Amino acid sequence: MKSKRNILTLILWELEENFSFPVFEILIFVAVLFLIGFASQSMCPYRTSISLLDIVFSDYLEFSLTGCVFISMFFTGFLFARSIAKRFSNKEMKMFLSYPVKRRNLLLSKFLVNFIVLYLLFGSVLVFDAVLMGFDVFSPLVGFTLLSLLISLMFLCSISMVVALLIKKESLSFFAVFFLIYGLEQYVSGLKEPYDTCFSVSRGPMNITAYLLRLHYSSKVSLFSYITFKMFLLSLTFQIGVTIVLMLISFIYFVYFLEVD
Amino acid sequence: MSTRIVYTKDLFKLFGDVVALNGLNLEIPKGICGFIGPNGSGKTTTINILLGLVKPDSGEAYVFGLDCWRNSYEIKRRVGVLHENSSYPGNFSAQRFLEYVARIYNVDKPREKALEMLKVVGLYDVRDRAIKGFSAGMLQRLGLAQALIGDPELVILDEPTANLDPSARLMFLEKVKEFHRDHGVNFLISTHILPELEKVCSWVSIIMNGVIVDQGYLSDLASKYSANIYVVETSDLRLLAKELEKIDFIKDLWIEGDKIYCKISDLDSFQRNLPVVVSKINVSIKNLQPQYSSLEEIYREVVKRNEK
Repeated sequence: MKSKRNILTLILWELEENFSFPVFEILIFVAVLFLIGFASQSMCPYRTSISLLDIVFSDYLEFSLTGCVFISMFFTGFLFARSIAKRFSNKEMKMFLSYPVKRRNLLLSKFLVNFIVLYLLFGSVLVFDAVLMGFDVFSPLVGFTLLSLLISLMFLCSISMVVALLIKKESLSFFAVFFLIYGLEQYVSGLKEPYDTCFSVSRGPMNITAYLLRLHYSSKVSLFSYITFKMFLLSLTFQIGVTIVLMLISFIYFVYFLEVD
Repeated sequence: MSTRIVYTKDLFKLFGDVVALNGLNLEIPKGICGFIGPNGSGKTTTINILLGLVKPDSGEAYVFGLDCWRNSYEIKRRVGVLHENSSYPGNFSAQRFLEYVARIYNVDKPREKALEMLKVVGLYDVRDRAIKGFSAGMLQRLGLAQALIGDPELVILDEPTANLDPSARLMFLEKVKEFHRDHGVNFLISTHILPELEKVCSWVSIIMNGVIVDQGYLSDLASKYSANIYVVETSDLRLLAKELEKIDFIKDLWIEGDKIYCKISDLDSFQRNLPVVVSKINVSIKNLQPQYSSLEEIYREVVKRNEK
């Protein structure tokens, strides 16, 4: 009971501190700008020339989902650098660890707050975008897309968290996350084997959604027929696998090995 | 020592090639205790180990009989701390910050407790102001408030008065004294400002190069390291001074006000011969006591002896 109350306090503290003015306002602003961008895309006249289903599926996943994941790359790096790396450099982490808080609860609260805020924000963008495109928000398309966003955000957050923990410097941590993910993206997109794109940060969630949609709608979604089971599996295992490994590394390091001098 | 609350045995800690602690044997009893030593002697590392923030390479460290690394959570429930150059969430108001800290310590009424602490440290009037607008003195007082808010049994203060002006330093130490007197809170204070520490502490541990070179109650250390000067108050100042000047083991003698100061080389002979001299010239002794060295003098003497 005490432990639950403790973690709730830490979550509220983190939420109030890390999303104080103007961070949360900037996040909302960017999300709204994104939404306006999608809305204008969906109203282009050429889209009636081919199968409507193909177009909306394609646009929704291509622009909305990959766009959200791509922009999240900046925000996860930034938020975790502020929430973890900065706290080391300004000695706030030392103060926190001197209070009676369990180390795992402290790290968990930081992860959860950043992850949940980003997911709610970009999840809302995807849902609004689906509404603008005329989809039912409870359709499998929106459901699978939100699931993919969830997996991809966990993947991005786990990378950002481990980098921030190891580097402990705010700006360095942010740039390290950005170049790590962007570098991975560039490297993978340059590979010749088509399924290698499964490793890509932005393609990964699209592959997952597209494969699940193809299963659900059968032959209707012709544009995504090239997504094979192997690509789906690679996308899924890569993102979930890396997330689990990095989370374990972060927690083991923070709880058992981290020394704050 | 049965009343000790902090105890370390043969504590070693290396940072790369640098030996931070080199077999530290620290003992801290209940009360207000000073932890002094030159820069880089290992004070902050010791404090970090006591709080479970740093793991010792070898040796043992206990607070309230609990192992510092394995039971750090239990220890932190009973200990408040103010670190050197601490940083607080700048966007929070002082009250909001203290409310959160009170919740972390599971205080029953966090809001009321936060307001009470703000009153105690004299920040009640600025309770709604953002912490980033606080002066160094206000930040230290806020630091003291957050260290005391969980009703700890021991408060560790690392260089608490470093950035404060003399009057703020005195006020800060007065608060420390007040909390010890009224609430029985024990304090471990690491500082460089010895004259002020001397006014509040009863026990001192002196650290040099990662080793405790001496520790004990201030009065014991004072007699151990005193310059063997005795102060005599008598009915006839001039007559007694004249007689004492003739004695071999009194190396130096001078009069200040209504007291005679005698620097002696042999304490036993002095204690044996003084009554003889006094009865011979027929004067009375009103008061006789050793002149204790100040903490600063003790510290200088310890450092000098250990540098040799």
